[in-house]
Amino acid sequence: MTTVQMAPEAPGAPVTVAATGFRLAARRFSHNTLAVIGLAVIVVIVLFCFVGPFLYPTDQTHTQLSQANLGPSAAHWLGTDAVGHDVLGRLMYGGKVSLMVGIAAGILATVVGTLWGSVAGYVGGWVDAVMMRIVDAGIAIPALFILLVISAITTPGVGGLIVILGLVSWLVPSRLIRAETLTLKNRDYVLTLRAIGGSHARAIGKHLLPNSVSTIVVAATFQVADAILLVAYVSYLGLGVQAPATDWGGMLSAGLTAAYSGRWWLIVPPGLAVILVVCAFNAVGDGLRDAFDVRGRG
Amino acid sequence: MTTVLYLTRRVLQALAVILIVTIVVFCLLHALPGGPARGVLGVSATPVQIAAFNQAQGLDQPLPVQYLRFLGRLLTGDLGTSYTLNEPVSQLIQERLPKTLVLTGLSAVLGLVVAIPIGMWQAARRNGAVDYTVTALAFVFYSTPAFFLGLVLIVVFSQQLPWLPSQAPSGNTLAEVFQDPAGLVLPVLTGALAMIAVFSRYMRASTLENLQEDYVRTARAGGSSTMTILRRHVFRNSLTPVVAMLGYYLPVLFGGALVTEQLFNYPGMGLLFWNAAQSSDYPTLLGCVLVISVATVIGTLLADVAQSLIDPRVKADRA
Amino acid sequence: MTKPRRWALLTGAAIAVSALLAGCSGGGTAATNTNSDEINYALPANFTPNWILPIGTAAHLNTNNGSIAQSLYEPLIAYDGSTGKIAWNKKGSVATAADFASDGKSVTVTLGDRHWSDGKPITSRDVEFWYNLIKANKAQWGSYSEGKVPDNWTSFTADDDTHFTITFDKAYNSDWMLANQLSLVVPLPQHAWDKTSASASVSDADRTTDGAKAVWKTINTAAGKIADYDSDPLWKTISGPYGVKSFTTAGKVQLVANSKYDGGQKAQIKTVNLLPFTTADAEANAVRSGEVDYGYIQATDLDQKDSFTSKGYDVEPWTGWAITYMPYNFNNPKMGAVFKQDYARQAVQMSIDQKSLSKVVFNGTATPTYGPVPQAQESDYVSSAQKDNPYPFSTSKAKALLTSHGWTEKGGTMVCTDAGSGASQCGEGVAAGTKFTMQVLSQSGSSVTDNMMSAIQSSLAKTGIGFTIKTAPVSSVLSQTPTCTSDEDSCDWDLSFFGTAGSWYFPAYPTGEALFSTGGSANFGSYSNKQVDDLVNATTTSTDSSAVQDYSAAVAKDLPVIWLPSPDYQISVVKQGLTGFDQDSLANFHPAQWKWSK
Repeated sequence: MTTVQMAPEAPGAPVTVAATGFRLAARRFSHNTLAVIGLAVIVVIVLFCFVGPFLYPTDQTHTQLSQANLGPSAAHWLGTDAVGHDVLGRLMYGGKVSLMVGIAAGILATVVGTLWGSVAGYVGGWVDAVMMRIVDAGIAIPALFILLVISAITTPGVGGLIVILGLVSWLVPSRLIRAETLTLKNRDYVLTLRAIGGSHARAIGKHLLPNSVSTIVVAATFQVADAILLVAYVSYLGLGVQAPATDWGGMLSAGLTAAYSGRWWLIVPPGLAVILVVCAFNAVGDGLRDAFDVRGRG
Repeated sequence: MTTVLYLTRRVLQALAVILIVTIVVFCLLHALPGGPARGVLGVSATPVQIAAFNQAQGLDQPLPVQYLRFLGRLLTGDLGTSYTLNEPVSQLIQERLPKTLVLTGLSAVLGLVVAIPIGMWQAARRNGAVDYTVTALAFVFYSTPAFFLGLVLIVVFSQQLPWLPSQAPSGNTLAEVFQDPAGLVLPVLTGALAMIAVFSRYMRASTLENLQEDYVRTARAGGSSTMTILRRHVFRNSLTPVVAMLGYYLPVLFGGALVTEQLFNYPGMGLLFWNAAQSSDYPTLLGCVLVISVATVIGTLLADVAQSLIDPRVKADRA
Repeated sequence: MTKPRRWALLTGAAIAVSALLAGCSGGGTAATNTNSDEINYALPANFTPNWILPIGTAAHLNTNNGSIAQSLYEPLIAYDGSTGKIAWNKKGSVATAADFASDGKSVTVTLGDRHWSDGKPITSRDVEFWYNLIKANKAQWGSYSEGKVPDNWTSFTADDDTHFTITFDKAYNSDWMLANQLSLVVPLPQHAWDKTSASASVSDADRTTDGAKAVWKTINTAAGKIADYDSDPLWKTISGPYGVKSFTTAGKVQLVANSKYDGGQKAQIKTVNLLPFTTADAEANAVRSGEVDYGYIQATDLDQKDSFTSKGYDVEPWTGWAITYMPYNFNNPKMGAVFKQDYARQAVQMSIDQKSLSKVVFNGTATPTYGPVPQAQESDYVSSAQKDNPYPFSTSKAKALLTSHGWTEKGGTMVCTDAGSGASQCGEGVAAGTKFTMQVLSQSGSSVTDNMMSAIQSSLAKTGIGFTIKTAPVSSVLSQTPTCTSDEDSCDWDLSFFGTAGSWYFPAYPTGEALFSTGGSANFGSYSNKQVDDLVNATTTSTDSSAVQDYSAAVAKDLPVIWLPSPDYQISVVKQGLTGFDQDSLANFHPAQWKWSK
């Protein structure tokens, strides 16, 4: 530890995140207005989806044909859909699925992708070649094809969707992290560490990963945002969760046929919800990247 | 190691990947329960007709035999004949692929041309008003599902303000497609807006990182302006993640954006693939997936080579 | 840096120019058709015409293919709904009379004085040509089913050029023979098509079995080349009101009036453009921008009816001669025994509120159907028992039916607590503890279908029957829910649904042998009832006109499937000024009837 910190003025000398403390990062984050707004939005929406149903209970499993296609009113704040479900309640109900699947799948994709990419990039040689060719094969096969095949064989529940979407999405972060690892690997401080006998694990754990944090974090945020969009897309195509469960994408798909009929309450709320949440995650990720950006302090 | 050796190794690896892809895709396809016969022949098909169909298409053979036959035909360039469209698959793809390439290619070019300068500009004028505005816009466009964005564009620009047609050009040949450039605007825009959002973010982030590098500090100390620094030093290095991301875009480039093609009624590769999946047209499905996969493998190979050429630090260690 | 800059300039310039062009042209590219020489007809979504032969092979039986082929090659007897009622449209037929023998065992057909487009007369030889081809190649003929034409015809005799006699293997109901069997005959140009290979010369090859097989192969091979439809001389000898001007593989077809047509249904619009659309939404957009003269909208668009009428369209629902249902899989190892119990099926049917579904989910564009005979158009075939609905909607009655047969509600789902075959017990083969839950594999891609399934799920839940929904594209649904026996892997399905556009379209005379007789080719659920088998048989052989009604009543009561509202074939939007036609509930379109009124 001390050996590396011997020359703090050496070009590109890293000060590890652990040393500077998360407190500093948190303070930098809190000065970023967009990021703070984003975090607030996420918290509000999570509360909306998970606590909301207790404050505004609706029946999302039984249809009520007599109440179908009503506009917003005192009884139904955002109106009802084509089979009588209350739209506001459905927004909360669907949001739970969108958020759960999106966040979990995004994190799963990033974790797997980071591990795969950093190992491949660091080890190099034929191991790297094999690992990245597997990634190439995965990217080459269209995700839609895999989704179609899987959905034709089984009906995924929420857990299944998380795994499937995560498996389809980890390929891109792995390429990114590998590229980053390759760039970092040849930095002076790493070469120095290896020259004086430091282990691979220390090189990865103490230097490569912390300095890739900004890339990983940006990647993770984009992955979660992407996953939420992917869930919406998958449900729009009809490959998502089955009735009576739904998510924002399913609501959009069902509501798109009403696009020209003036029944805006079927399209605008879920569309806005998706945009808001994904925006918020992007803002937060951006803020985190800036907050952890060690070399940017000068 | 020498460039020639590296390239040869990568090409051989690419071929291996393609072979693996054919096996995986073929097996996945035949893992679909039930087989294509009834789906193709319809509700009123009799068992006799189904058996005749299976025999004619060689579907009653064991799977490895079917695969080897398929591989054999593939090597002669024969992708089989579509069950429902009555055409050789290769001909179908020959018709549809250029149309898709036009649409997705234009989206990509527009996206890159706008995103790269914008991203770099944002990094240079970081935290200014422009940076915030563009960031906010990028967020919004990036976060909008493509089908929603396309629909909004249609409603606004085709119905509320009758400026542009709601359908992409319906011609069969490229010449006919280009006769109706107005029809291309909305679909290309739908694809490009999201790309601009993504790529400008990556460009901004990586330019920012590179701007903190010491060689930049040195250059600045030497009196170079920000513009010169950006142009001469930072641009090439910042392109690394963008080039990496382009590899990810290749399946879309060749496979078409399904949603855009559906919304704008543009019969390209995306719709060919989707309709084949809906109608159990296995040869077309297989053909499409193969074309997309092969193009992607070649593309990622090229992206890797390009990346190593751009960033000299990567050159030293190539897999 | 120069290269990206150059690209930027080029692309920017291109976009700017296109925007300018778009602005200048005022938006929209396809001209609205005020031209009375042309009409733009929208084909159903995601369908591309791919067959020109009036003989269908299994993969090409789509009615739209049939409509195109029928415009080129006039059928012998056009028995359809194009006159407003399901009847023989003599104007659009080559034959002018069909006289059945009093014993029902033969028929003599008279041809009109008709000619092919090359001037040669249409004669009995052309009909014989069709018959020989079908006889030798029936296994590949899409409309073939065992025991029906050509199996039930023992001989074909040409009395002279314009008369021929067909004898049957036994006595048949002449309505059925006319409407369902003779209507399949299409005179083919023997003098142009009777070749054993593309380069061979015309001969009488069809008179031998081997020759007929070779001829069949030749014309089928030619029909496989869509790109040559507009140039191949084979397709130039036509008898119908239209010929092919262009036929692209992307699905756009242009028909042009046949100036040599001498039948009773002359083309009144010179050029017919059949336009393919990838999705119904894309087609609706095209209607909104005026690019389609005769198109369609979705049931869910009906409340914007005014926006279409204000654009100059009339909204005309096109009912279909079809029934829509969910087949039970009686051989399902778990639920099969439950399905076999009459009271169980009655409870399920009583939980389906067809009236509300039609009104709310389908916006009034579906017809509640309570039995095996289509109810969308008036006919003499439907019995009053079926019309009056033997099982009116009542979830309380349904529940009572279950509880009185040994089922108890536990946690919202009915469970069999009193197993056995006594009168008040669950029934034979139903194990104690069996939960009454079913899963449907339903067709994806339609929000109306999804909504209907949700509503059904909800009302079944009120009765205590569990209902889960899984969706897949229709071809997958058909592949995954085949006829099976309980030991097969493929037999794990409970219910299937492929009826977003109607589950089964009938020919004019709605017999149900494919659907409801034991071993029927489309009897996916393996329904078997000896009484129904006899009744089905009687509909084709008995000369008694009430045979169909007896069949209708029996099957409506026995519930081999879950009856559902039958959706309209499509909700057409027709440009004001287009007249002269009725929408044929057999789902064929007849371009020769279309006319622009001035």
